[in-house]
Amino acid sequence: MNEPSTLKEHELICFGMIAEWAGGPRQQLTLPPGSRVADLRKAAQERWPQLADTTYQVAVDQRLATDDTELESAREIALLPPFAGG
Amino acid sequence: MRYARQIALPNVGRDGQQKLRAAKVLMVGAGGLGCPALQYLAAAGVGTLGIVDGDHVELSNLHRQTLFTEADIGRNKAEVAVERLHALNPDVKLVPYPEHLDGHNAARIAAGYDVVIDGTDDPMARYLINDLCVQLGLPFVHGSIHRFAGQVSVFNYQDGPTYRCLFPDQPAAGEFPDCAQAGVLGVLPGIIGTVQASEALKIILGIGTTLSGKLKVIDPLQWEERTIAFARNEEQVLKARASDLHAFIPEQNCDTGSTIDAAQLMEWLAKEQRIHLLDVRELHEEPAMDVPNVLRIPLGQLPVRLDELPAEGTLVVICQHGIRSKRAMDLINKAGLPLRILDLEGGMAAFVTSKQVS
Repeated sequence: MNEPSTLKEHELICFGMIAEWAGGPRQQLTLPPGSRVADLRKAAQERWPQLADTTYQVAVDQRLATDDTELESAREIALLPPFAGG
Repeated sequence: MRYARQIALPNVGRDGQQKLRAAKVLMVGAGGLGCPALQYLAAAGVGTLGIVDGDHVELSNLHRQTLFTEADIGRNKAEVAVERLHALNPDVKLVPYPEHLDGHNAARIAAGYDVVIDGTDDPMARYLINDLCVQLGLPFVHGSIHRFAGQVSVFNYQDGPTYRCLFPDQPAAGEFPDCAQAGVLGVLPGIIGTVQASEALKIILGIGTTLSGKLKVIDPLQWEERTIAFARNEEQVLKARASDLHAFIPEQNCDTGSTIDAAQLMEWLAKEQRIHLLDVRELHEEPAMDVPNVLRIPLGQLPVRLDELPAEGTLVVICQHGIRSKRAMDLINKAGLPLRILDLEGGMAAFVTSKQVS
């Protein structure tokens, strides 16, 4: 409740190892308004430092996003690493 | 008759069965994904199935690699798969490639196939398969797994996106754990491999909607499932077209780890698994390995005595502390012999200690 009202809480769904680091697939991440995927990557990496050495893609509302995709109207953000096993 | 239930489907019919009979599918990897995919493709009457796998069956494969039995341990997976699938459906032409797909053999192996299925466990190999398929104009069905979760997609199909369009950046070697490190529930590759077979059949038959441009991610443990849409990225397609396939030397990942520890070796010996043992210490070095048929070739003589090595199978290389054995392994690998080579971690010293403990 002490957080400035301008911050927006985003719903994340994490897959693979990222879900394990985060402690489960469903997570929330708070970002300032106007944030883009690049900002999300920075914030996510602060929270889960393992992401610094991880290749992963970000999808916004089940569509692959780029670093400059805006998150303002995002309902769900997915963090997707490639899987290695077969 | 064999295909009656499938021919009865309105969008398959006799024409569809003929399409399946004429189709040539290349399965890269006869492991957790490859086994179920191959079983369904062979059962469906796909005319030609090529199977690429340089690995040998291990006990730890059997919980998920459903084509193999305990009697197959130590045998090449592609060759065992061919035997099993032939018994299932002798109509299918089965072509084993008992080798790992790499930049040197990829174009030779894939020539003449219509669809490639990626069932490898090596992130590097996925870029090789992608670039190969882009260069040859072949669609490929991708599958990969992590613990309880899996991903499936169809790439390079009808001008759709490629693997690089989804994951442009190649992960660093060892960035992701393989099945041996991460663990995997046996049924999970069964689910994903079966979806891959289904996508391949749809491509051959030209029916339904494929996962081209869509990545299906499923986590049956939590029942989280998403379908992520992505577009073709011309820059990445050009990269795949221009890629030098010869630069790909895939890592050896799941179940192809190149070291074996003393406990594992003792277990293999106790079970009388079919392995070959090579001791590269000087002939006077003690203690000797007290099992029959240990080949002794001191490291210094190995380069001129490679012809004494077994022609195939799994070769465990032993020295005193596990250092010379690594050099011996490099030497044998460079000679390109069709052997699976493991070096005994910590050498005889570790083996003796481990034996005393047990």
